[in-house]
Amino acid sequence: MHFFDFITRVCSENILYVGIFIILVVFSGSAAYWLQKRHTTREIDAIAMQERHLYRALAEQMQAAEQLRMVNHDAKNELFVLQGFLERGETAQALAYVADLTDREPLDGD
Amino acid sequence: MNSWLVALYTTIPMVPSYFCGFYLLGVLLQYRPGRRYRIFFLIYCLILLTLKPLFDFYWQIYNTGRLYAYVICTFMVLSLPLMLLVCFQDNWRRKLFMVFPYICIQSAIITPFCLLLMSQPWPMPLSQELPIASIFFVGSLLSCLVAILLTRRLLILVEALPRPVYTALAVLSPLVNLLFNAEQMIAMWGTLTRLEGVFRQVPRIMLQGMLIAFCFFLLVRRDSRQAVAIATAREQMQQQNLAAQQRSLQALRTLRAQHRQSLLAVRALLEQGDNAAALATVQQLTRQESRVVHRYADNPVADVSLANAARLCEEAGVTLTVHGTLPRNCPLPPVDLASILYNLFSNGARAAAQAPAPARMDVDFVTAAGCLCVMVRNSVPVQPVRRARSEEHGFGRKILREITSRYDGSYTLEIRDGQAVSTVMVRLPEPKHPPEEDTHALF
Repeated sequence: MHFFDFITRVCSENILYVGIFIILVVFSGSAAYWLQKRHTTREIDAIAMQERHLYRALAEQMQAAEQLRMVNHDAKNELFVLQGFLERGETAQALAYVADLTDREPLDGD
Repeated sequence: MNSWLVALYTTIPMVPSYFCGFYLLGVLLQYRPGRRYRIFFLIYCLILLTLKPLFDFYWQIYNTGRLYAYVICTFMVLSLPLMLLVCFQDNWRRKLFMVFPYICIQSAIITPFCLLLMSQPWPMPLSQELPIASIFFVGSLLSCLVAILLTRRLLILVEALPRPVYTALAVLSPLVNLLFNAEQMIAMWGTLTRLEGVFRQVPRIMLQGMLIAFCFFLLVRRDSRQAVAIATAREQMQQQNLAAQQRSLQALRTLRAQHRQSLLAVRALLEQGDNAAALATVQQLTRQESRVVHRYADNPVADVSLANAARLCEEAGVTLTVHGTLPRNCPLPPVDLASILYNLFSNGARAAAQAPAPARMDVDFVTAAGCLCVMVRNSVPVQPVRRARSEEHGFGRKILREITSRYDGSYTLEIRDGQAVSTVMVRLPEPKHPPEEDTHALF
């Protein structure tokens, strides 16, 4: 109650004090809100940038995976062709074919 | 009678200030269709906010008749929520919740102007009264503006709270307002003059304003932390996608290396002249080749997401089936597509993992009429299992709702007879065509 009486006396002495107090509170509140918002925006921007980096890395990995999938798809066909040569008794052709395949340059990124 | 006339003449210049403090509350809401609601609220505010300053000034000037002021104040506090419910078409929680914060903030800011008004030697000539009334009017407008801005922001934050909490706050708001007003009236009953009574209320009003401000900052902080948590969850989702893709890539590299070793082995057998062994080896390889890394969809984003879902299903012993396919060149931005598919599939796989065996998860892709529909049907446990709450709890469905709403689409979840059906429908944006080359130009 002493605190309330003190505040009441101060307010009654000068209404300006009340006005100044309110202005200070509103200003401080706005500043605190703006700082909090800025901090959050920066944090989210940093995370979004990290997400973009990750997505770029993912896109590169997906491209490499696509290339390898194409090569592996060819690999299945290569084996079927080789099997076809051997089942037909085309041994020389099979040997030349497999030599060609194994002498080929390895794919970049292997 | 003369005394009432004097009070009335004193009141009339003040009516606009009192009026806008109440009437501008309607800025935060939408009137019901039809002019009669707008007129009804206008008349209510006019009558009430002519009587209130009349009784207040009568009490101020003659230091009597405070009971009339108390009665009108009580009537205002009780009738305002009812009028908001009747005249405005917004959600009832929104209408009721905003009562206390708006009145609290507006009272706190208009207090110095009220004190200025009440410290004048009433009654006074009109020529002296008009400047005071103008200052009070400016103060009233200023307090309404600040109250509207803060209450609007507060409403957004509170509407993001869980529904039971929002409902409780909406019910409590007018009751707390009534309680505070009752407490003020009791405190002012023992004072000699109205001015003395208002002075005594200043610390309480300041305290109320600071309490509202504190709650506001708590909610702002909560909202910020949620936004950061959602952004973090999306980043982690991308990291997991990247890890899944790296595992696929490693598996492909391993397969390629194995394939090369196999070819070298066949070559060695052929060079030794052991054709039968070479043929047997190749036949064995072609049978084994059917177990290479599976490709789940033409679209690379869908392929990565389904590969992750397949891994989750395999670990949990859930059967995964995919129907339909997603076009390779889907116009949906890959980030949003990955977010939709990852959240749909991981939710379905996790639910199916807890369902009794044999658990299934079926994925359907349908593209038609410029829309993409992805449906996930999965087994669910009979009794829903409560997962331990973590920071990421509930963000998957929230992210799905947010993304589908951006593409004029929808996300629905239906659980019936031990099966959950999650359906995402989005309108595909127009694909961006590269500018056509002008083949007719000479240069």
